[in-house]
Amino acid sequence: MSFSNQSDPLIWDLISKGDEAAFEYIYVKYVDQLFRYGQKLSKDNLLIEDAIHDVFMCLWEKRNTILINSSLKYYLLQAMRRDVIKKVNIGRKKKDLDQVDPDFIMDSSVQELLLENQIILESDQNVREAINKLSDRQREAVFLKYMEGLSYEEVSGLMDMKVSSLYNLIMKALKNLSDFLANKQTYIKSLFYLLLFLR
Amino acid sequence: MRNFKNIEEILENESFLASIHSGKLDPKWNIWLKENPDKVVLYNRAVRILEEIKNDSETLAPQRKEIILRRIRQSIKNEKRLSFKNSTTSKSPARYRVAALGLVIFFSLTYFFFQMEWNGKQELTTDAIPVQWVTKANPKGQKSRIILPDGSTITLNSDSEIKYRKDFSTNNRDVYLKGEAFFEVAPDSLLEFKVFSGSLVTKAVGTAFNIQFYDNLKQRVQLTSGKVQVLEESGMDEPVYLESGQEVVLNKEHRMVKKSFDIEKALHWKNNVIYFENSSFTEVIRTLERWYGVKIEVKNEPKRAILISTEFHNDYLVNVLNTLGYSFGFSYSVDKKNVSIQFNLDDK
Repeated sequence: MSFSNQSDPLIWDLISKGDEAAFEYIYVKYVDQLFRYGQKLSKDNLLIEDAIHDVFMCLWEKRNTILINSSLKYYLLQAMRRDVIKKVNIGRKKKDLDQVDPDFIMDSSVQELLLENQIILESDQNVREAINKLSDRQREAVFLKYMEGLSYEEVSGLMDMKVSSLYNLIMKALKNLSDFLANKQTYIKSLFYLLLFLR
Repeated sequence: MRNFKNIEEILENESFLASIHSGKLDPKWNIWLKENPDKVVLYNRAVRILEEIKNDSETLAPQRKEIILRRIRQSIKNEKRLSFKNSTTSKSPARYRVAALGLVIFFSLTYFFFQMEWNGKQELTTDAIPVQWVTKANPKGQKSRIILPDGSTITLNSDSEIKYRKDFSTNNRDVYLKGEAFFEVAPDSLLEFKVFSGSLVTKAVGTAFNIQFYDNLKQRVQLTSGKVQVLEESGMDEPVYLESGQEVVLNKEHRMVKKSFDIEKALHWKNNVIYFENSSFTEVIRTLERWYGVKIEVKNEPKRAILISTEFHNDYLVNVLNTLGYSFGFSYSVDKKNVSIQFNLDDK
């Protein structure tokens, strides 16, 4: 049976009746989105994978009891957020006991090194840099709004903040991005003229 | 179409978002761009921002997707088995809840002894499905911290290795240890946390403890708080239950003896403190080799027994050697990773 032309509520109905194939279809359908979303909340890919495992396990375990009011996708994003944040917090508490985490230190310094050596003239990299400059919450909000296509109401529910503050957060993020781009553009231009001049 | 003044306005536009996501540009936008050539830059930036937001994450490799799915299937199978066996068991594992207490285990054992035990044990755990192992190891002179899939953490001492199965935290919570490590175990009402080290198996019943196993003849499990059960593989002894501040020491006859111990001292290595209390010279040398990642050669070692009681806080090797050399009458030389200790002849 093909699930691809079925709506989520129908598939969810099958899942709650214990249909494992339907369950796996939902996994395949949403795993990428959940993984991408997880990356807005943590840099630890293994942690994110564990969270995906736990989210789907939980979904299966509670298939008889969960009432999905909104969409299945929204429910999964919500569960994912909760699980990743919980795991990150556990990791953080543990981290306090030990001062050094060599992996982590290496990671950030390599990243810094890469950032420093980034060729500024590469225009695509500019945007990346600008995005890296956004706060974690800004990145998360922008991702949910523009990539997952959630409404302001949905994002605000997920991120547990007022719609008005969410709106400000997103607008600020977009403004940062466009300002950054505009600045870079002039910077590149002047650099270009400088190079011409030097020749 | 309205006149967009800035990127924000463009990005907020539904038809713009839809056209970027679908890859098909709404003709209305083409017209708008033609009418407003000065806005092309703005428009292009908006497109780039959106694309970059899209690319701002790595994608999950297909193999990883498959692995997670397999893990989920396995967990579901477990779940069925568990609820079949015991229908009253709570369906949601308690490890998803915050527990007041963590579990602390501390292990240590001699490297060479372990190799004998280690190789034997590997074979035993092989099922019909080939077992996949995750191994984390430290060379001499390096310590590290590892977070296990169930949220437990391990501080791994130098010259040590742990391994666990890929399905850790779904089917089992078994950890195999070579060397020395400090465990903080996340609570789980369904899966016991077990540590296999040498001939001892330590089962966490659900709180905090501490194990030591320096030598074949000096294995030790130390509990800092809560409760653990310790088994000796030969089964000569009944399992021993420990309470906080108590330890099990394996004596020369391989029998388990219960005593009390000093919690603070047992965790010194983790806090970068080298601690010796009536330690033999051989033991001290072995510890220093592991700690600093060096090879130490001893010449003219005196026949009389040397017992050393001292501690060093985050100290350089030369400082340690100076202090020890002064007390016990030896000189030393360091050549890269090789240290040579020469006892003064008159002391012989």
